[in-house]
Amino acid sequence: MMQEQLLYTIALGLVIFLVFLWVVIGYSIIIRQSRYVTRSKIDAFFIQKLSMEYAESNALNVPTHLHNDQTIAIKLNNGRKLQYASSILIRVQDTFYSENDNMIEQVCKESGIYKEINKKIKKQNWYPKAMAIWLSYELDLKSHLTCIKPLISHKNVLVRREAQIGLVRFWGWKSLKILPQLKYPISLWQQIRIIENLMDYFPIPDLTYMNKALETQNPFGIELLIRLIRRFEMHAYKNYVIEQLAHPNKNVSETAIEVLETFDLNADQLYKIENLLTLLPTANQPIRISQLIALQQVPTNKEKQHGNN
Amino acid sequence: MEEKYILIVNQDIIVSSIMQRYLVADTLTFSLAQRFFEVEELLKKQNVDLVITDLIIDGLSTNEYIAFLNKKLPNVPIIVTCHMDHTSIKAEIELLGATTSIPFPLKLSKLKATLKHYL
Repeated sequence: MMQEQLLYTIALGLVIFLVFLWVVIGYSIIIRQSRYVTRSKIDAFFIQKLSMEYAESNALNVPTHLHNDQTIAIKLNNGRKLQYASSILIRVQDTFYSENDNMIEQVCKESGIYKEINKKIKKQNWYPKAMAIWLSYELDLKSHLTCIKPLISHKNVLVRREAQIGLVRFWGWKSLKILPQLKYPISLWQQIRIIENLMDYFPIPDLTYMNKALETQNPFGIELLIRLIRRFEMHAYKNYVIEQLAHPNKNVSETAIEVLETFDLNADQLYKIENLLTLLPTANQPIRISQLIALQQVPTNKEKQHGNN
Repeated sequence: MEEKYILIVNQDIIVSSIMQRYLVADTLTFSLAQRFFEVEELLKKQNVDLVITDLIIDGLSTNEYIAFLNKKLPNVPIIVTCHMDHTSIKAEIELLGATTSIPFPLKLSKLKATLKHYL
């Protein structure tokens, strides 16, 4: 009797487990199916919208069949849909040429992406906020600049990093004017991101903003400027880098040494460095600075040949 | 006018669909493919008059892929679209066997003109 009851309990348990498993599988299939339908609808909307917009923005004869399409409506009411729709626009804007700079922004407004991003930027939660900033600069939504600007010194590291990159993408070299306003240090990784964004999108330095930025007193700001001088090979600013050898912050003086090692220095500049060493006994890196002087004084093979002749 | 069959290959279906929608004409029939095996399957079933393809495709290396297209479709124009705009790269793509290459970002009008030129 006891054995029978035990077997009955095990069988019942197994049945319950199998039913639970089927429910989970069924639910997963329904969710996947519904996601597939939603994505197909979003795809269809953007294919229709973008083929029309690209044709119009290039002042081309818009094929008549594009005008006759039935309008597809989409609702981007959650983060997953918004991310999917935005990823389409990010991919497509690099693929097709448009003479209308505001075309993607227009499409964003008409599709509801703009409104959703705007809502997310104002949220308290750091993750949607950072994602909305990222989407704003990737989609070139210039009107979000006013919301992004106050976030450059946000307490959350990801939010302020994205806001800083956003300003770089929208303003280019002009964004260097925010350096004195920054409250938190800029990590090396973030400095590299800023430099690479400037290199990709604004390859010609704007010296007006560079000169203004040199007034910054933030050690991390100075570090960034030194790295910019090297990346963009701004030889006219070598003296600024030399002055930073005596900076009390170890990271700044180390960065200055690294950068000067990659530059050719003339006799005057070397003399200035030697003077710095004697005048400032508290300089952070006396040995490395001496090595730098020695390295610069070693004649290159070319110079040796020239000397022999 | 004789009907022409165009094959558009791009890993991004949105990109190939936008191209197709813009290029649609009464005399043109289009097929879209995203991966190499789809290209293989389509070419088994259908004769193609022109191919517009991305340089990179899932399932095969670029060199092998262009060689495959050349072998399967001798005398058929192959227009390659790619994200690298450099004269040496353009020459290299043509050396591989492509008829011509158009860099991204792509001007739809240029694509249409190229299509008309080779058909």
